[in-house]
Amino acid sequence: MQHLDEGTIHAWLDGELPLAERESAELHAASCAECAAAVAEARGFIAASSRILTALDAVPGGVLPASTTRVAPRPRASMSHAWMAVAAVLVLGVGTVIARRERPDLASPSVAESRDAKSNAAPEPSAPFTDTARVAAAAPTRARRSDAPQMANEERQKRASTEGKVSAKVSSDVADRIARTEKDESVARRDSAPTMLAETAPASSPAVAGGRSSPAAVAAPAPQAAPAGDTVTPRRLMLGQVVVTGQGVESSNDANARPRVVSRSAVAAGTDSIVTTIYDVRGVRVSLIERPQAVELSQPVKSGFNDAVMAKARATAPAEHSITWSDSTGRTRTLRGAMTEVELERLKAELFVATP
Amino acid sequence: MHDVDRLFRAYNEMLVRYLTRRLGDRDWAEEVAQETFVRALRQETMTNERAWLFTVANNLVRDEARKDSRRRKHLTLLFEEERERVAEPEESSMERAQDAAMARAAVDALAERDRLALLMREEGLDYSEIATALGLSHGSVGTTLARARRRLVEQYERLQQEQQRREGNAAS
Repeated sequence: MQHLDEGTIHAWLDGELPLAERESAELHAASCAECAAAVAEARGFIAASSRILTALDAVPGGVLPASTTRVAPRPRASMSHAWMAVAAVLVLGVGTVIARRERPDLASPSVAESRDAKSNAAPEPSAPFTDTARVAAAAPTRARRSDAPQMANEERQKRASTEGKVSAKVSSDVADRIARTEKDESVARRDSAPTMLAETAPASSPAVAGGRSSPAAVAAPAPQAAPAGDTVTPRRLMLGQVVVTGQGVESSNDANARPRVVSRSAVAAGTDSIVTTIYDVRGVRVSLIERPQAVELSQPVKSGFNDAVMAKARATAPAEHSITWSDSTGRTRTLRGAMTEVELERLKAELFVATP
Repeated sequence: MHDVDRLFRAYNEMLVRYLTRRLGDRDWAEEVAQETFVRALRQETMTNERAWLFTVANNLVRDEARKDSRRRKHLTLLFEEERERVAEPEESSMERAQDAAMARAAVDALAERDRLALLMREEGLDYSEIATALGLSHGSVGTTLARARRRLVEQYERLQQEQQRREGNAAS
């Protein structure tokens, strides 16, 4: 048999060879010392390159010094403005389920996009990226071929598990932050959001309507079926990821009013789920998160929003507190909202009279 | 419209990491990722979400790079000047910074297509997705990655040796 070419070896090691080819490559490598050596070398290249790329990760943002960025700031405005459109829809995405079926007639990418993809494939000079190359990244590690394979595998596994563990808090917190940022951002977005709401949900999304709402993953204290309504489609439910209802509820300032459920959502977390319930507690939005104890909500997850957006969101948000406890059911619960911890304890007692 | 919330949660982290590795600037990477999700809002359907997102992100980087290349070069010059004025950092961070700079230089020395294929593979994209995003045939992805990995490692080792030689000269 012909010797294995380098591309085939890498495809094999990457698990991308069809079964028949893989078996034939294995057979050959077992009997050909030259190819066995090439496979070993390829393993080294794969692991070492993975390590080298990892060294690029700890790059700080805003690496250009302040004095230079003041001279000519990066073109951020257009993008951040555009991002607000995403923000508005993300809020809706958390607060409401959007009924929409895919249109089979649009099942392929647009012509323009295909053309872009092709033109992108052409080799191009990479001068701009080379320019930024000298910006020093932090925390690199020297590549060592001997230990690289294991390290690379561990990193992959770690990364895979991290990506698999995206908790409900991510989306809800993101939505919450957006909601806050949304409040004092452009009027244009306010114009667009209600329109979308009108299309997608009969009542306002709590995150938008509430303003101060804090949708986070929470447990329903007294399980009750989330009112799915007409807007829920089987397609969305099949995702097994997000099942959300949104009911715009007028805030009540009546001192004796019971906390009312504004919305409830569930996000899969392994075999269990994280349930978020938003309450209107006499005019204040409070979120209740119920999760299996194995799920760590405090795990830092990068939101993806740039620091300026996050800082602004924090600055405009009312002071929030939270309390967390575990109960006999083996689940951990967190109450969070713009009230003191004492008030939150009071609310906890109110909500969990029957199920301590 | 896609359920962008789900897309965001599924792909933002890897997209930002990919872009950060590619661009060397996390802020810029996040902006491009954000814009990519904005584009996803307007997209009716995607046959392969991950390949679509990476393709769009690649195009955005390319477009912005063209637009701003002159300004960026100017800023880089200013940055270089600024760096020369800044006091030497402590030794350990110096060493780390050197390693990172070598990694960056080695990555940038790759041909654009090789670099993108490698970075996308590191984010777990399979050969079909890489082929789609880069307009390659499926069969050539293995060859592209093999070349990219070999060159990256060789270039990095070359830079390491140069560095060690310089350190040796300085010591003697």
